[in-house]
Formats: sequence, structure tokens, C-alpha cells
Amino acid sequence: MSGAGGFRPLRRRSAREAAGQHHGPNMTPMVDVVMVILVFFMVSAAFLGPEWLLQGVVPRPAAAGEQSTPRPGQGPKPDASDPLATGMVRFVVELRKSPGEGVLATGAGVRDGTVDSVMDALGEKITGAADQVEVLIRPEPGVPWESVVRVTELAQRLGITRVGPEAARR
Amino acid sequence: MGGQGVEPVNVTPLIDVVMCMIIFFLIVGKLAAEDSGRVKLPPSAVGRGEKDPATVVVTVGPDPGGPVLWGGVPARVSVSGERATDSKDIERLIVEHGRAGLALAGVGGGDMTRVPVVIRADRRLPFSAVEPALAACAALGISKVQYGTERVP
Repeated sequence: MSGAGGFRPLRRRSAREAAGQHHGPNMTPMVDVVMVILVFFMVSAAFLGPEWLLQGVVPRPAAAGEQSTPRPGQGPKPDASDPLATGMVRFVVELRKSPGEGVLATGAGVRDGTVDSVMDALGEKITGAADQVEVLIRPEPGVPWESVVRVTELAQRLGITRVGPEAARR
Repeated sequence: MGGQGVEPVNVTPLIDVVMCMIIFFLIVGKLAAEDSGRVKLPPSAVGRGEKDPATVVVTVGPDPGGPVLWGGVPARVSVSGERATDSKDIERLIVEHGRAGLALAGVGGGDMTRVPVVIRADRRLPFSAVEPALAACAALGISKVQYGTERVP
């Protein structure tokens, strides 16, 4: 009895002593909160994912009846309201669905090749003059969006910033 | 005990629990928002990470069996989380959210052509489904848009 009775107060006292010996602020709540904040940012980063924004241009919609079909490499239309008509050399990349899987691209002297082969050919043609070149993408309605973005991405890698899909025919 | 005065209340457990609840609701809210526009973005190795605070996000996702056809394809088009039902609706929503965004950011002076627009479209969707969103931007005079992509090395 005396052993158990004497042991408890002894333990309690030693804990108090230990707490008494501990100087400085109590870090436990801070660590607690910091951990929660850390977990929050980790979870939110995992949710948001690595999203990347690719800059593109939206060409002015062609008015009804207007034929907006300049040939690849031909001069632009004399229309100041068209963001893709600023005295630059215009290349047209046509995309169409292949009968099987995939997409056929035509432009820069390549006919029915892959998107990458067309953009490689374009890169060879425009060496050093990327800032004077614009690329008009002309996709068939069934072409996956991925291919349009791929052309935009490869054009930007070549240093061409004015690249956009021909959309917006109402 | 009464002579020792009132002991201060320990608020640490309260803050802990409240923080956990805030995080829980943030995650649930995020999941609910994601669910309305879950899209698989096309990959890209170039681009930039930061987004303008006034940005209007147009999300185009597949909606198999959905009631609205975009370019002949059942898809779901939403502008900053609000679902659009036709092309004119996209324009209206871009104007609405764009104006609010510009006012918040204090730029542009209501000039709609300066609204930063991000188009987040699913990589598998045909171009015809994304075209109405691009057309709406073109009709509003917004010539520069950004495409949401998934960053790849």
C-alpha cells in the first residue's frame, strides 16, 4: 500500500518537475497547427495538379460569304481588324481526321503528314524569322482538340507566338 | 481553487478542430467544383503557371448522353463554373464574369477585349465542340486566349 500510494505522487511530482524544467514557450499547439497547414497545402497541390497555360490567338471570324483561304506562305489579307493579319507571313496548317486513327496534317510543304513532321518542316523554313510568322490552324470539325493544342505548342517552341485555330464561322 | 482566480481557457483543441473542418469543407467544395468540369487536359511542355486573378475560365468537357450538343457532340460548357446552354449564353457569361473580374482587379475599365480567358477543353473532344467557345471570344473581340494544358516534361 505504501509502495503504490507512494509511487503515484512520486510520478506526478516527477512529471511536474519535468514540466517545470522545460523552459520557453509550449511548442505543441504550434506544431499541431503548422502540421495541419502543411497537410492542407499538400492536399490542395495534389488536387490542383500541374496546370500549364498555353497562349493562343483567336483569329477574327470570317464574315458570311467571305473566303478566308490564303495559301500557305502567302501574304495576309489587308484587314487590320484581324489579329492574324499584321503584315506577317502566314502559314496554314490544315488538320483532318485520317480514315484510321490519328490526324493528318498538311502545311509547310508537307502533305498528309503527322503534326510533328509539318511543324519540323515549318521550323526549317522559318529559321531566324519566327517573329514575322503566324500560323493559322484550320482543323476539320472532327479533329481532336489535342491536335490543335499540339500545333500551338510546337509553334511556340519554334518561337511563333501568333498561332491560332480558325474558328468562329457562324 | 476559487481563490486562485479563473484559469485561462485552452483554445488549442478548438482551433485544431475548426481548422480540420475548414480543410474538410474546402476539399469537399473543390471536389464538387471539379466534378462539374472534370476534363483531361491536353499535354504541353511549354506554357506558364500563373493565372491572372481576373481570368474567366471556360471549361469544355465531355458529357455522354447529355442534353446539349456542341458541334454535334454532347458536351458540357461552363464559364467560371456556370453552365452555358448555347453560343449566345457563352458570350453572355463571359461578359458577366469578365466584367466582375475586371472590376475586382481594377483594370481594363470595362473593356471586354482585355478579359483574360482560359479555355480548358478535354483533349479527346473534337474541335467542333470547342469551337463555340473560341467563337464567343472572337465575337467579343478577345483575340488572345490561353489554353489549359497538363504540364509534361
